[in-house]
Amino acid sequence: MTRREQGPLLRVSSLTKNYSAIAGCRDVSLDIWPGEVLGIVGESGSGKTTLLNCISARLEPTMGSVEFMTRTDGMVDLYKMSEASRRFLMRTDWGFVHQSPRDGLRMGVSAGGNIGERLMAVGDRHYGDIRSAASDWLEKVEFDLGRIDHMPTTFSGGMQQRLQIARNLVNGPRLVFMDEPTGGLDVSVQARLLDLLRALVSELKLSVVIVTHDLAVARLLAHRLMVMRGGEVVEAGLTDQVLDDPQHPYTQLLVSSVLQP
Amino acid sequence: MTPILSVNGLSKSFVLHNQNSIHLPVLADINLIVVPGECVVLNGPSGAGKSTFLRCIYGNYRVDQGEILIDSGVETVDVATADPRSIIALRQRTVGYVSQFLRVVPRVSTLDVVSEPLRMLGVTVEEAEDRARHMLTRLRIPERLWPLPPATFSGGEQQRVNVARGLVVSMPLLLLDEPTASLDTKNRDTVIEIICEKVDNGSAVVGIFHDAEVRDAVATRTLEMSPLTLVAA
Repeated sequence: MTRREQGPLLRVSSLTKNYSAIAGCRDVSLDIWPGEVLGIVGESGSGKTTLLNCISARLEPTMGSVEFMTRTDGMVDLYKMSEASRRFLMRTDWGFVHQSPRDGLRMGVSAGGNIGERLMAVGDRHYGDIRSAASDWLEKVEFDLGRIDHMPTTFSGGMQQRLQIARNLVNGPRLVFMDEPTGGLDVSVQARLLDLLRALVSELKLSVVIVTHDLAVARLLAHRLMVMRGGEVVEAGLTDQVLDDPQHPYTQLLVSSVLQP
Repeated sequence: MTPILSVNGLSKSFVLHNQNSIHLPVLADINLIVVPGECVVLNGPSGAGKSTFLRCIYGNYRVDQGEILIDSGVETVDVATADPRSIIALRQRTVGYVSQFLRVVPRVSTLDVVSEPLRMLGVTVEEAEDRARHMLTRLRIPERLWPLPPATFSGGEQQRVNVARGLVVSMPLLLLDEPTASLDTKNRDTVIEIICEKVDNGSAVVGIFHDAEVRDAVATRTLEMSPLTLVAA
């Protein structure tokens, strides 16, 4: 209950991003509270990834603001802070899990090195401590410790993705952005990753913004859903409400188009 | 006694946009007040909107009109207009919903499935697992199945796992959608016994039970419901 009193961790107001004449996303507002998982669903081209990039300080919006509750200075507009403090925030309080592990990992550095690098970036220097933190995290993501010194190029897609997640969580971020984290994996690997994510999110009380086109993934992980189409949010609400009693014609189409295995 | 649930003038219809925008009214002007220690059974033929009504109370379906006031002990929440965070908070501590269908999550063991609602409330892992084991034993789920995910269990076993999960916590308001459907007599009697214990301990129940024997065993009163006539949009 005290957490609720603290207010939102991230607040997005009337955000619009135009690519020359074309709108990437239009007039989006949202709040993320501590411990909350927000799912963004919609077909390709609906503006999900544009929105995710804008709210994670990776792409400057054309209009609107993105504010984050910093540990020391209260709510701060991301695009008004200095580049250096934004970088610092991204390294410490945030994580970003890419759909393709190649975009989120350093492919020329070992598994242990990929995790250690994040710790060194915030000032850790003791090799033994870094090594043991890396091992702890690799175990948490069910990674074979015998392969800690191997290069990511020798890992399967599922292993790379788990490594990317460990690399993102080792610093104890408060907010993690995920772009289709289970896309491109086999269903069996996907199930394992989902279960892992679900457990980590609730254990670490993480706030998460997850972009996915898979409604089953959204149902499993997200507390709230936003449905996007053509750059606009067409429907938003409690996850099971949006999926079980969709109101907008597009959401109804989306929900009724899923194949039941 | 202060009601735990007050439903006033509730109406609900479905509009199917991709099917010629057909308009299906399901509930019109429903009123219901429930106090702690009551078990209200919804009675009526298939299609009368009983399940829809329960889902509206749980916040799973939106409503067109009316209010659904639930007393969380701290405040009164109108589920019809509450934001998602308030509904999630209600579901953690105040309102439970049990259907006959288990939503299976791959790889999660039966013991974890059943103990999860307790762990979410902050109960220690040991105590949560103890209470989950007790519930699984009562519902005759063999101990050798506890470490396994319920995905491969028989329909009846999955249903009992779901009932165990739904009843392991004592929620002040319990919504039951046919939790005893297709259970054998022994297990059905156990579920009746558990529901009666909850009601005796002050939980309020709103439930759907087609089996007359179950209904007579648990109900303190009934609410009659009948299907609305279909009108074109």
